[in-house]
Amino acid sequence: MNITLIKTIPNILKFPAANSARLLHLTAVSNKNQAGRYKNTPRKNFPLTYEMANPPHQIAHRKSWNSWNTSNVEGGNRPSETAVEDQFIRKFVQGTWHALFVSEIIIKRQHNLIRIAGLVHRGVMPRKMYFLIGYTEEFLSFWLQCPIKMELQSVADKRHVVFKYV
Amino acid sequence: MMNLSRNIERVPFRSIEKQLVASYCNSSPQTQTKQEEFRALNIRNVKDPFQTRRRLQKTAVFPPRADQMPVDQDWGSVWPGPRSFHPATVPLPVRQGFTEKGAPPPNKFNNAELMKIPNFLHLTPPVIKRQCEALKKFCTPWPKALDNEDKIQKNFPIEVISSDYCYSSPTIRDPMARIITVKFKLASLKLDDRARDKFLRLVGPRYNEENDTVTIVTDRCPLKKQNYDYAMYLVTALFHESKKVEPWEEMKSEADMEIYCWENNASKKNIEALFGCKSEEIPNAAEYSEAVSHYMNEGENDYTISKYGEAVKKLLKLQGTN
Amino acid sequence: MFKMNIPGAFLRRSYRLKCTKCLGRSLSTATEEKIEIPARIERGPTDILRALESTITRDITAAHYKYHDDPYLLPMNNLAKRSFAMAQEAGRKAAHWVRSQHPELFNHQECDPPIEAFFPKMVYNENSEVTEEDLKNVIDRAQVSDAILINNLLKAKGLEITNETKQSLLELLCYNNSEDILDEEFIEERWFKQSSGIKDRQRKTWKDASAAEEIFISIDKPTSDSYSAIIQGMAKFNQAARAYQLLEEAQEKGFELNIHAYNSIIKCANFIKENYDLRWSFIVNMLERIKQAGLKPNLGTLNAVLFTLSTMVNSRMVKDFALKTLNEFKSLDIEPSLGSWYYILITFCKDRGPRSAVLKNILNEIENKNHKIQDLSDTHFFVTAMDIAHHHLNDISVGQRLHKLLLFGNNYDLIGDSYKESIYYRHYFSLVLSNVPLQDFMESMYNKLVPNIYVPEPSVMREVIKQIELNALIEYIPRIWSDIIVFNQHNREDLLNLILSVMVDNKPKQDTELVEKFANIGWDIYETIDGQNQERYSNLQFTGDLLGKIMIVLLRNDNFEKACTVMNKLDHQHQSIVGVPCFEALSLFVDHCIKNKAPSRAIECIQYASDSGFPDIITLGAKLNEQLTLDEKHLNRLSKFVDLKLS
Repeated sequence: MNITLIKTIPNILKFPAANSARLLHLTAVSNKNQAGRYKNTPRKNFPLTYEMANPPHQIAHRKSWNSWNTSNVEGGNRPSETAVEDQFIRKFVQGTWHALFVSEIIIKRQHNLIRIAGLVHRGVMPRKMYFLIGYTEEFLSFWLQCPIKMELQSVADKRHVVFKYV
Repeated sequence: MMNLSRNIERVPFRSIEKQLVASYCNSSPQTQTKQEEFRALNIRNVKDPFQTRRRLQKTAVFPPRADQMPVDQDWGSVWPGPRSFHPATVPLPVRQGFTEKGAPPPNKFNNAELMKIPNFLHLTPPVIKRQCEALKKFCTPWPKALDNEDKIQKNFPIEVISSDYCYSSPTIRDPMARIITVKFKLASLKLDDRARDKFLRLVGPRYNEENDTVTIVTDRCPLKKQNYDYAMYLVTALFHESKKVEPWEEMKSEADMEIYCWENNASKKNIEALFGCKSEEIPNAAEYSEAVSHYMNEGENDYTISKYGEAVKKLLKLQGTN
Repeated sequence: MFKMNIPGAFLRRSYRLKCTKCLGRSLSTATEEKIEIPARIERGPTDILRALESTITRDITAAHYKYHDDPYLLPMNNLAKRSFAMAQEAGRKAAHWVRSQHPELFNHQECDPPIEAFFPKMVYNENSEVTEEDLKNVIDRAQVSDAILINNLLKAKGLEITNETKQSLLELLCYNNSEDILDEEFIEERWFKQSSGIKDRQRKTWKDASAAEEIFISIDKPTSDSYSAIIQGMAKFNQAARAYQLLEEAQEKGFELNIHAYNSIIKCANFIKENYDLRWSFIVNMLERIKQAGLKPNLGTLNAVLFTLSTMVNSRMVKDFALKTLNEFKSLDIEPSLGSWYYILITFCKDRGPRSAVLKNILNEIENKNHKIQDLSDTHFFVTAMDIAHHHLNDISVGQRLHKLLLFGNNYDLIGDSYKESIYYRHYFSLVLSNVPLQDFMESMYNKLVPNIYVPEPSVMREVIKQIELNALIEYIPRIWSDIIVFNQHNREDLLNLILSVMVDNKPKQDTELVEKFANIGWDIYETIDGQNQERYSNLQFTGDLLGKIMIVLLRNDNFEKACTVMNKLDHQHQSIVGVPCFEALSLFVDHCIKNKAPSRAIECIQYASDSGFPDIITLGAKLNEQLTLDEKHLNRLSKFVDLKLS
């Protein structure tokens, strides 16, 4: 099998262009926009938040950005570092506040202050939440060497953030 | 031979086995004391009543504090600095979000969109007023004598411009901050014609004829201070260089002149010879000299020729004849 | 605190230079005006922020800003306040721990200019290569154990350190008693740590033969500075005898100690001399020596003298001495700090002593001024002064003047710690409560300060309830009860009993909202006791009296079903419940049984009453018999314990 394959390759190269089209396999066009879009489920019971309900092309129309900084303005500094750091913050907060964040994590930067905002489910005791706040703020400020502030809004029930079902 | 080697191999394994058995025996009584009886196989998957998860103790949550706020409260103290929106603290019935078919937009609670957008709740007009009052003690009044642009221009001829950049990043450094721009009016240097000519040749395109301004931008040094010093050095060097007269400058002959100057030319000598006196004493000589310079400098065209003709007529008092 | 909200900004600065040549020319012409450019007003790096901060006042609808402003996360009682703040600090400590475990992961440098606090701390061990520079660094950062370690390493390597470094190391060790102190970063732990000093103040805590003493001995030619340091250290931690001995030794050798060493010795007079007269002569002796040494006494001297005087027995002489000292120091232009006034207060206002109005005079002196901390004892002033205003003088005007002083400028910084703060407010509340009409108190104090600034302790709550009863303003009861629940005080038996008896004794007018609210409170109390976790250590127990009162409150609102539950409880747990309800409760219950036509319940009640030994059950039985037609069975049951024939 392998041997035959190898043998055919030079043949393809030898063939004129019109014939080679028959031998090359092409898949269907797959450059469809799919990221951040949700399909309908059969029972229409998949919950979406407002953020999820609006596909990415609605950013700046119906919803706004999750990261606010000056790195991407004309002549802004550290664009790549900022993107990587924001990703780190998101991963770290998602992991530390396991299953507690019910919205995207919003990161706003002003000068060297980083503010992390979001909706938090009231799933743990307030005391534990304070521990997590202190830990996250201090750890991230060691890592990013900026003062960090958490600005949370607690949500009594996860269903309160559901915008629609698909 | 084979057998022997096998036996040898076995011996250590056996001892390990023994140890394992021994340790198992030792540990088994402990495990048994933990579970007092044999565990029953739970075929029907009936839940053990004792293994119910401890319910999370619900803590009482208080109503949003915005409800208890008095109407006449001092908002600047409630919201002193920039902060993400919080519905329980802002007593405004705001809504945000896009909905289909005339449904009301999502309200302020549990609304992440409101938390995203930067708000200016900390900079309400009364707060700005108050803060300006508080900062007044750091301000000094504008000098009274400097009441118009001319005076400023006259007393402070050099303008130095530098920029600071504030980004949202852990560093305050920006390479663009090193750039220094120095501006001044050429007239303020009070140069004579020769020096001015030389100065303009030295600065080249940095001179703007429209407003008589020289602009020098320095960015070759890494620091702002260094660039500033360099710019000041340039201004000083330019000034003195243009004042200086080199020996070869004296050798400039008529042919090297870039413009026609009546004073230095044959035309002046000719009319002086013609009238027999100094050109200043000849009536209408000034007009004539101007017309000649125009003619020579701007080239021959209808206007300069006719001007020249009139000046000659005036000079020679040929008014009557036509 | 305050930052521009625009994420990125670009500041363009342009300034004009004056050409000296032009200036010369402009001066020469007389018609030209002279241009005067005002001098720049000097300001420190944080002055702008402080100016902006001064425009902000305390927001009474919010908790302290260290707490997260969210309804779920706002603390409403003292326990929550403490545990939330400490939990956050515990989280921060966890992050510190992670960093200290893996310092190699935190070696990157993002920030420019570098911020030291974000970088991992240097760790020293037996194998580190150290120099004197390192020692200086750790001394600057007050890392005591590291300093000792590095010093030992240097000694082992045979490296000599300069005398200045040795002196600063000695000072560090003496100040901290050769122990590491709590990191300044953990501000909450300091705030909530209950004034630990009280016990230690009277006890020797100086570590003998510690690193500090070793260093002192190792200095070849001790100077007056090293003597001063070791004396201050020993005196601070109450190793008085040796401190005094060293003082004498230093003077024999002809060293001139500094004023702080003398101050610390004066503070130790109690340990050195036994008799009061001896102590005073010791102080005078020391002051003489200061004079001979040509030193100028300072605030520390004043406070040390006043401290020693304040510990002496109450006599006219001591007060005279205190006033004389004040006068003497006044002539030296030494302004007393709040700490000095604190010592004066405790000298003059003793528990059993005569009443002294010295606080008023002090207030005249210090009112409407911004005070800064100058002495550790300054933080004791406010709490003590309020205590005196409350217990000693019981004068509301003094209390209010004092509170105004506390809120003036940045004086609130001198409140001390959380413990002192709550004691201060406890006294202030009790003082106002007993001197001001209740309505005014509720409006001007209670509604403003509770719960964000102060959460009343159970004792204060009890006083509030008592005042409510005295003033017969029972409409405040529901509000107080909801606060008691919020403050987590509803497991206090005395408070429950008090509020119940107030509700029973002050019967609200029929058909008002209050009747229903009272009934709800009663049922709340029943349910909190009934529903509490049995495994808890301190359990609330039902008493007969309590249940009776609950029953009365419920029955006034015609909650017959709930009253029946309470009656059942009484009846079924007869053995475990201490005491019996009052007769009115039972009688009222029987009335309501009649009203609701429930004879069997009434009979149960009468049976319970008879078992409990009430003499008047006959009237109850008769009432039941008259107003309801009982069937045979009921009559039989009733006649078992009530002789109906008699009635």
